[in-house]
Amino acid sequence: MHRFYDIKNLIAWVFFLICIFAQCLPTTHSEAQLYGLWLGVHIESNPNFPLAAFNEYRADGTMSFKQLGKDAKTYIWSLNQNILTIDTMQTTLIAVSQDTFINKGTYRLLLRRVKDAPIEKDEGELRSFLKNTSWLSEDRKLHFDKEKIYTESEKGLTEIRCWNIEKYNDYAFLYQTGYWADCDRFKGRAMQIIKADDEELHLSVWNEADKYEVVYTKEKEPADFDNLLKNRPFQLCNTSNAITAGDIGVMYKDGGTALKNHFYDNYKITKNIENENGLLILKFIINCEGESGKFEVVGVNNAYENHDFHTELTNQILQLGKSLEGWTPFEHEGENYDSRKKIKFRITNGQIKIIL
Amino acid sequence: MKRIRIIYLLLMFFVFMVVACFPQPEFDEEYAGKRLNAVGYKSPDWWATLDSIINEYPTEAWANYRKGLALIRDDNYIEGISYLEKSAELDPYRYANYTGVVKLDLGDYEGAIEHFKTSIRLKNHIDIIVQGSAYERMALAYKEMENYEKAIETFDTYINKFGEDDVYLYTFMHRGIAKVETGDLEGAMADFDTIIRKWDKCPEAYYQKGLLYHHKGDNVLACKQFKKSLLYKNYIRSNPSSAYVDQLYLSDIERMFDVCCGK
Repeated sequence: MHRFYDIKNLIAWVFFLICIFAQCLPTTHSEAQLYGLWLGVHIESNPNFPLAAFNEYRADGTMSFKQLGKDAKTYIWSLNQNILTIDTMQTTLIAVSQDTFINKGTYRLLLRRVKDAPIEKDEGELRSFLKNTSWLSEDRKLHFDKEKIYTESEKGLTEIRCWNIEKYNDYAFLYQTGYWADCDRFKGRAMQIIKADDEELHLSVWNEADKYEVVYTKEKEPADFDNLLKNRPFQLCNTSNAITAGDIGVMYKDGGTALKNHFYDNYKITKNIENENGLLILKFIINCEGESGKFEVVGVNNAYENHDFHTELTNQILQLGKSLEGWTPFEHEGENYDSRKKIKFRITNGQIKIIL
Repeated sequence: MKRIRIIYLLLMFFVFMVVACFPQPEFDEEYAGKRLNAVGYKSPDWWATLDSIINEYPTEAWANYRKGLALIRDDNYIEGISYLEKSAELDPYRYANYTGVVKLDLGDYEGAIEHFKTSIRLKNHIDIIVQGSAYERMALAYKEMENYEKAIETFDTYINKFGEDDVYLYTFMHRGIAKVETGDLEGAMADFDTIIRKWDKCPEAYYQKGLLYHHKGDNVLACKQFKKSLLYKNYIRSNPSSAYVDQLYLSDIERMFDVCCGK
């Protein structure tokens, strides 16, 4: 017969309770885990928005924060359990590994550790090295001219952005900035240059979804830019998401009434779409240059369930939307922005009943 | 040993029972709002917090409304409408009117009218989220359905119930436009004049008067109205993200100015 206070039982229960208690303790991190150079990858509020900034944490209790193209600022930092204090700002350290750390203020920030791959060439030498060259990887080509980088895939030219080089300590970074019409806007995502010589351009790319290494080999001849630019693609001016703002009727050159009449007057009902009912939403983006693109249609039926409208109907709406020209970009405090737009069509028996 | 196990099991069972019997704390909207504001808007934590509030308080409307609103703003009508409908079902006094507004914006006029009727029945016709009366909105829904008689009747009810000075000014413009559709041009003119009497810088009222004169074949008087409408163009009612019902655009005035005043 065992007694309630049997020593073996008691030890087992104390051990069990300690285990449970230990589970409840927060995980702590040490300052040493943060020492070194980190590069911002993304911020949770806008995963496409690159956090193009360096964070260098030193053992002497100082850290440097440096945005691309700007001067570094130095602060005092400390880590108390999981509370990371930089100057007067406090954030919570969520996770730290050898290569990444996640830090949370209002939103989570993801930073990556810079690879130990020093580059001998200085910034000027790297710019000269890349200027007027073309590079080929498995799925794309990069063409550099003096200030722009043209990305080409099997589908053709996919993006034009301006480019620049930044070195931090001995490490070199290629970053894309601006867009085809204005190089001074919006700092882009930085890629670390692992190797840059006449044989290969090795870039380490990190984004919110993935980390990958891409190795380009040099093309013998630089690109024919005039030929490339014959099919300039629609692209966002910003490197992150377009905002939802601006009344579409005000942004169209002839006003909202003319915009609606464009659809009312040119839409044709056919036999195949006579029984279509519901709400069709035409979505697109007007970039900061007043160009429209990235068109898509979404349909719901009258019970607000997903509904695929007949292609004869959706194609007509898409074509009529694409044929609208003369947009004024959304402007705020003197700057133009990419903006998301939508036009809603209430469809009754295949006919456009009302445009909203 | 067996007896000890049984004692411990009974003890644990007892503890669980006691915890389960604790009354659930009453829903505190202010506290729930603080929980939500503590995490980044629309971050994964934000959505998870909303879901946990919905699960913890399944009979409370607030979190359903917040989630529905966020989804609608992301153009997710399929899920968004169902959360808004849930909020209107749980707390029709607060959320029926707004759910109606969203349906009005989607051209679901019959659905919207049902919600406006509910909010009028519950004597809460003024919406706290988007300012405006359920009476006026219901009339607008009838007007957009081209049921002009019913629209005018609802506008009349609204104006008679609260008085000319206590209704939204643009009510007279919408009623005037509905009257034009029924052929009551004098009644329409009186409505547009009412607005101008109350606010003499209303570009929409001058524009509508101009259209009436043009319709009557008097382009001289029409031109004068379009000139005044252009003069007060900076006061055109506009919404930064979407258009109002009967939205006026500067290009509309300019086009009619060209027609009636000559280029």
